[in-house]
Amino acid sequence: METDLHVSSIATLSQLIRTRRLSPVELTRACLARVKALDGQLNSVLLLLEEAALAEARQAEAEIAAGHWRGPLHGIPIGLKDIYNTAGIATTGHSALFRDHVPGEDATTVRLLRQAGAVIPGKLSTWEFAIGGSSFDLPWPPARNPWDPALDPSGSSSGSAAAVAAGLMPGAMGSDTGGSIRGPAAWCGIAGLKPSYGLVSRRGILPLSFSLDHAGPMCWTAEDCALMMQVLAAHDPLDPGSADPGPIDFSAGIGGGVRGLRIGVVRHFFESDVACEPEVLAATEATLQALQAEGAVLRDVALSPFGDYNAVGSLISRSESYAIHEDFLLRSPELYGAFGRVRLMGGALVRAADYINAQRQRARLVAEAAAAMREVDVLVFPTSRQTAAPLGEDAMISGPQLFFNRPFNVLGGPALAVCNGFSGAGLPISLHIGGRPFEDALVLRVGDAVERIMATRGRRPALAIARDAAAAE
Amino acid sequence: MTETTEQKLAALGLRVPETELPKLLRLAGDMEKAAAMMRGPRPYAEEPLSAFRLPLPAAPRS
Repeated sequence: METDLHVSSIATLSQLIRTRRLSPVELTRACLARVKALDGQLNSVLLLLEEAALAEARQAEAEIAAGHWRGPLHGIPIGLKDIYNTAGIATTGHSALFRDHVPGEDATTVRLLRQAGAVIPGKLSTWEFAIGGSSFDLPWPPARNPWDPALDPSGSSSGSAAAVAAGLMPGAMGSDTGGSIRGPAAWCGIAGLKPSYGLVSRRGILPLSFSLDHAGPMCWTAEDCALMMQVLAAHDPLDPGSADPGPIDFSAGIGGGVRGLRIGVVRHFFESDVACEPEVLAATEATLQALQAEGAVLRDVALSPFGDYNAVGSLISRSESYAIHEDFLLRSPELYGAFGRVRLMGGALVRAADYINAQRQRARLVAEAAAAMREVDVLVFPTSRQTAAPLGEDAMISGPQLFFNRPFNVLGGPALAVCNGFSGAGLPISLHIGGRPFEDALVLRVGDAVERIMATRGRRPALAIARDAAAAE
Repeated sequence: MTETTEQKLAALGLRVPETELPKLLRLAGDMEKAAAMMRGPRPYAEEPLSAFRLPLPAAPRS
């Protein structure tokens, strides 16, 4: 059975565990073995928590055997980007600065995952403090893309995306300030949800930008993201940005298709504001036609230019991240990698009036998008203008933006990246689906439909498949 | 007097390795362009466009 486990979704694994056809211990052992066999090529795991994970799996097995199934994450291995605080376990931010940082308590989200019976197999690679980049001057190497280890998985939730795509674990936690869940989800061919701002607590997650930070799930499918959201979405008085919108059934629309839904296409983002690779444009058009054929109603929607969102997001995130890191940057700049140091220090140069103007402009953009979304149910455009780039390039520092993620960090609404096709070179392409605040379930419904209609979930990285074949011989 | 970016960073006490300065200058240029997009007059009628929010009042004690 082991060879099937790594390509199984959380939904499938959970059903097997619930009906006692699969032991959480067997599943956890399979994940740990796969990490040991493959992660030398991917560097997605910073710290493997083998003994603790097996103990958690044994506890889950005993509880389920006694008739106490806690829910769909019970016994499921979920990795953590290494900015999530874990009590008594190092949380490094992938930085020399926090190499010895051992928190006293779990992040709220980690506590919720543990309460749901999830198994924590390890702490995962990240761009330094969720901003640095795929750097080679940090204490640990950068994660690599399982579709081609010479390529960048993108970031900052690089290890989370690589681990899930390679089937090392069925789900992981990421964080998203300017696209750090959706970017790596796109380049690694998985599903990644940036939930509505305030829906998932940031308490106990190393912060980057107070008004733009989001925590969220990264899985093989949108359906699995919905299962994780059911556990993660909870009001947290310890996070000042936490919202309390009332109960949401995140899986309500899974399998529901798109018939009758009004899908807004923000064409100017990808047709004139930013130049896209032809294969990305082709995949986007093919997906739109397929959605229309399934009964969706397509409408073109005009928002402010993509550059306006990027300018607002950039000024706010640079300012807020500098405020968080200033003391460290003054005292120990040498402990940062070069990418992180430059990106964080840049925030020192933003004037207070410019930061406040960015917040004022943000309010205008939010109002404009809210008006536009009265006419449509979701907004779509590509997640990235291109497929994965070579590892080691610092393309984030300047020049054309590679991703279309920033608008939904600025707007705060839910945003999902799902795989909607593959390039001629076999690299994943991704569609971005954004929704109105707290309509995360609707975004997940559309993402699930895209995955099913475009039939992308049957294809895994060749790296993983080749190793399985070798192991089976 | 117009300060250079290097002088601004030094005044803030930030030490930037010489090799990283070109990237930081490019980033500073990008941020200045972004900020310039948002400067200029705004009609007061649209304000406030940014707000401080108090937490919701606690439920009354019974």
